[in-house]
Amino acid sequence: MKPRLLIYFTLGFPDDQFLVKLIRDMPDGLVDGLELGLPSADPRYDGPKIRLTHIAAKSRELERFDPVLRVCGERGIRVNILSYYSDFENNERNILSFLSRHSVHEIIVPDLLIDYADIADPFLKKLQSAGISYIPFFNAATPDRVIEKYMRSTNSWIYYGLQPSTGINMPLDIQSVVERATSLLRGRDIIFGFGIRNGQDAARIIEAGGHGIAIATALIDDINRHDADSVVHKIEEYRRAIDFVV
Amino acid sequence: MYQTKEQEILPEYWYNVVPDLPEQLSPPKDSSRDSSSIELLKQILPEKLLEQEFSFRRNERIPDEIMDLYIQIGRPTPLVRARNLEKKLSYSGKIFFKYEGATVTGSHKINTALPQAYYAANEGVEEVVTETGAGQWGTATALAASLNSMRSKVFMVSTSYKQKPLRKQIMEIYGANVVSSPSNETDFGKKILKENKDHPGSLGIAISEAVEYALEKGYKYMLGSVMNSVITHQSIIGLETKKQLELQGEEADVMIGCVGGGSNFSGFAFPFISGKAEMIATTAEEVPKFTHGKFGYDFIDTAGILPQLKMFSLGADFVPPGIYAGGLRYHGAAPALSMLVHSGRIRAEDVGENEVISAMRLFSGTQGIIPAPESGHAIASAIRYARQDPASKKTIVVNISGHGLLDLSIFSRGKQ
Repeated sequence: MKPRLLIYFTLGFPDDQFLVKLIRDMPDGLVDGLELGLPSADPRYDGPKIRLTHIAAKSRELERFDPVLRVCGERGIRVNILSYYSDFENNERNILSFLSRHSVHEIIVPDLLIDYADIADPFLKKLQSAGISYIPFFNAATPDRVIEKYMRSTNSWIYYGLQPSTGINMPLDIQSVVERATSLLRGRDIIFGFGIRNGQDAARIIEAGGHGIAIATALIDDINRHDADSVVHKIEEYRRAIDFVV
Repeated sequence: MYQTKEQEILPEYWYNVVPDLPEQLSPPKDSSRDSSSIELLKQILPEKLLEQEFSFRRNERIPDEIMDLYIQIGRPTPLVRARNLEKKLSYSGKIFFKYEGATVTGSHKINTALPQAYYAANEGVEEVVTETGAGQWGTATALAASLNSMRSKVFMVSTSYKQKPLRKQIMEIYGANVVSSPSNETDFGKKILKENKDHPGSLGIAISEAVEYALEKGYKYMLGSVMNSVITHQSIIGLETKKQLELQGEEADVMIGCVGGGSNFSGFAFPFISGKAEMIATTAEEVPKFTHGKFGYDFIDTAGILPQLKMFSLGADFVPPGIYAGGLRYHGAAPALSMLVHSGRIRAEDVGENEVISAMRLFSGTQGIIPAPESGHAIASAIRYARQDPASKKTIVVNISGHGLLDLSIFSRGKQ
């Protein structure tokens, strides 16, 4: 199966017009999906670069992001939304309505299992009744029994952070992280993100059994410069790196 | 009485509790949105240690070189049945103590100092820097550095520096450069001294000074407690205990240890965490982090140079009373331990200094070993437990994290 390539953008960064144009002009088939982050008041598990994109996004009015989601829909690009629970709980109705308006059916909530584990079950039920799939976000610090529990209560693909949610790349052995994840998460597609620094890392993940990768920080400088050509060029490099393995 | 079957008792692997925790451990957190104090860890810690800090591996192989050093410094340490204490308390069950005071530096601290110094030396580092409260960690760092042919610098909390001149002397014999903290060697120390020239110091301040010094000089910093990698190294205590109990056909019903930053307790108890043993973490009544502290993110050090950890804390600016057990004065406790106390898996208990001194006297008089004042807290809890139900058949296992031969003046403080 062809490896999946997901690209992360923080909505509102650097501005809506740039994102609309970037997505509209992206070559066909370059990405398998977009992960769109709702600007957060406390993006605590992102690194300094992504944190800055949340600050720069300024406005958190969801209607402002409609054009970005619309262009994704027009291009047939699959979208999932990343929202911190700390923001979701204060804006639940608007977020659910935003997802429904744009037929987005998948959500990643990076702080849910870390800071809100005790209310995760009712939250998942709420999402389910709204027709939204919760994408479990695990990393190397996720205990086995937590993984087992959410394997039972979900059936989607898995987002697995290579790095321990500090936003900083720590020394790690990619192969053993991927092997551990694939052995614990049998039967699920696993997309790896958080700390993929280059095409070599990306290829290593696919070689070790990963089903796809998610790229975020590596593109931020180019996005900040409004340099769409460089963004696309970098994405193409990742695409080649993972496709080459297969 | 003493176990000496080294090969049978020494584990080949350290144990990392992270995969077996009930919930996901909250990662270290930056306080600033546009810079990263976590990035600092990469500058001051050896790469291998960082890898272990964020590792998911349940079992981490102990390198042969470190195993040799473990044997040299006195591992495995003995697990002893405290028959005379049982008799004195008319306790129907059994009381065992794991005696970490039997290492050459007299405490458990050497268990992590050796691997940290080894990893730093492998990176070509010439000097390691750390802080010390009671002096045990500084002593362990000084010896571990010396065994790995490196220099060491120790910022010693001012109160302990004055109270424990022999500790300072031992560190110097091992080659360490020991300074009283707050000191004039760092900007943070100077700032504190400017506000109060007689400041008693705290572990949080000493950590800030050591980190600042390491960053400025490009040296590596040695972690004394709190962090996960340290607890992983300290698991050698619990793994040995498990094997020693097994060899005697025993099983622990209750495990008790004292908590400063949490490394001796966690290293002792975590290898048993998946079992049914009741666990009691004893803190000083004067530093009641679990019973009066807040569970949330707080700074490791007073200056806030290092990242924040989610833990029980009395506040990074907490200045503890001048109790003798310097190793228990720290404001916070290891995140994994804090989580397990918060979830109720581990019960916390506070013990005051007078009760500790009585317990130390009773233990010394019945077992012949003079425990460190820190360990005296664990003994006091064990005695409380046994006295509550003397007819109980439960097996209590206590970790004696160090000896108290350099802390004898504590006995002149307590009421008789």
